[in-house]
Amino acid sequence: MKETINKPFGELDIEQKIQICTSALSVPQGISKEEAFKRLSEKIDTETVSQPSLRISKGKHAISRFFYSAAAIVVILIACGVIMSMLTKTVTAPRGSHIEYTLADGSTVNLNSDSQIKFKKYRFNKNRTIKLEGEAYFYITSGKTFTVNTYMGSITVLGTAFNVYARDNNFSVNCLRGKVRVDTKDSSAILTKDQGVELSGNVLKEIKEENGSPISWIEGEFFFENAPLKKVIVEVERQFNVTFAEINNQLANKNFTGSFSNQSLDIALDIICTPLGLEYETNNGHNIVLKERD
Amino acid sequence: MIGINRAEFNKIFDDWYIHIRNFIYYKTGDIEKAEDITQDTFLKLWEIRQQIDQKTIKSLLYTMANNMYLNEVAHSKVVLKFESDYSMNPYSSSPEYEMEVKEFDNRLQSALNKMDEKNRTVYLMSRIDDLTYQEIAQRLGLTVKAIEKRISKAKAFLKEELSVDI
Repeated sequence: MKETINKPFGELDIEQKIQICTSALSVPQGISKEEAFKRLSEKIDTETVSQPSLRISKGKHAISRFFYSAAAIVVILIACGVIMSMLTKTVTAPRGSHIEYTLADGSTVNLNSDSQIKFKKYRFNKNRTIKLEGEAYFYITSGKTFTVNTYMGSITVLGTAFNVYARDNNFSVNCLRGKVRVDTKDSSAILTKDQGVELSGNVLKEIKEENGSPISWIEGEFFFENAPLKKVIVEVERQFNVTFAEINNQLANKNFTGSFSNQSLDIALDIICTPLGLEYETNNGHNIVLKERD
Repeated sequence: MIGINRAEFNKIFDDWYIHIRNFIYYKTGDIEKAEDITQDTFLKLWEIRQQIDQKTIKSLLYTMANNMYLNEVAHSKVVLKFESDYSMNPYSSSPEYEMEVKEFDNRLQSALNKMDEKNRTVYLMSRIDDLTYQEIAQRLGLTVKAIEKRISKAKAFLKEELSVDI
């Protein structure tokens, strides 16, 4: 390249131009070798296929090569199939959004903000088991037993519709159609239409009169009855993907009754603050400070 | 000795990952696809580890990767996009020079896209990976003569595509 750099680019001949430009070529970065190795190791370690007895012919002739590649393709397809089918599917609704997901059996799950379900895709119709973190509404088509596991309790149903709330130390289940069975470590309950239970200490207690439908959140409405301010704030944080500054004890003792919609943050804050005699300030757009009105 | 253990496999990965990925990249022009195919190639290598002869590992890897490529992406359209780094060049400070190079570089990229896949792969293995003809021949299980032929075809093609003034 050295001999070419004394002239302006335009005056170089075509071969020199090609020489310069091709010597500057490189391959895009992509993932690092270490990352690639990590991914490969994960695949190898989860691999459960028994070793296929494949013969590699060292011969260079066309036929053995053909068989070798054909067999290679088959092995890859089988291995990929087995690994894929073992894969666990995860569906996550991030903060500030809801997701409606249809499962392989036709059942639907509405995921509230900051909630996640996990399940094995392989033969889901035969083994309808889902792991839930957060809040979700399930509309289950009839078929084999459907189980929702949370870390506090599990719900077993045939064909029905129910809402599960499993966040922090709160666990509640509302049945909207059909019949569900709720099991926790120490207690269990059978719910029919319009019944609900929540975990209080170690036992399941019936939820009396609900203010608003337990699945109003699907419509973007959030109802609270005499709920600690902290619980309300956490829901606002989830729905609008914002954060609040830590509230002092005096505020933490306040209880809120009412509902807000996830359409407008300002309106929601007004609805929460006004009856409690509070005002709010937003710093940097995302950190909300609540304080008593003077 | 036939068969390799995990440590030997890791060593092979370490030695050959980048080479195989680049090789597939020259064919597909898609770095993510190249990474996927390379993953599959090594996964496959692991599956058949009991039958592997360490001595032939080099050409085996290239053959496997090539088959994997043919199997998966032979029919998709190639859009190569290389990264170019001209910072080493003394003229790079002049905006005029940069513009001229950039313009030429765009034409070079599209010429590479049009080039026959076999010629392009060998040409780029020589230009980007800095491999000797003999080394390329060994890896691909071809003769040095064949490599020379492909490279001169590639060069002639580029010259023809790029000497036409627009």
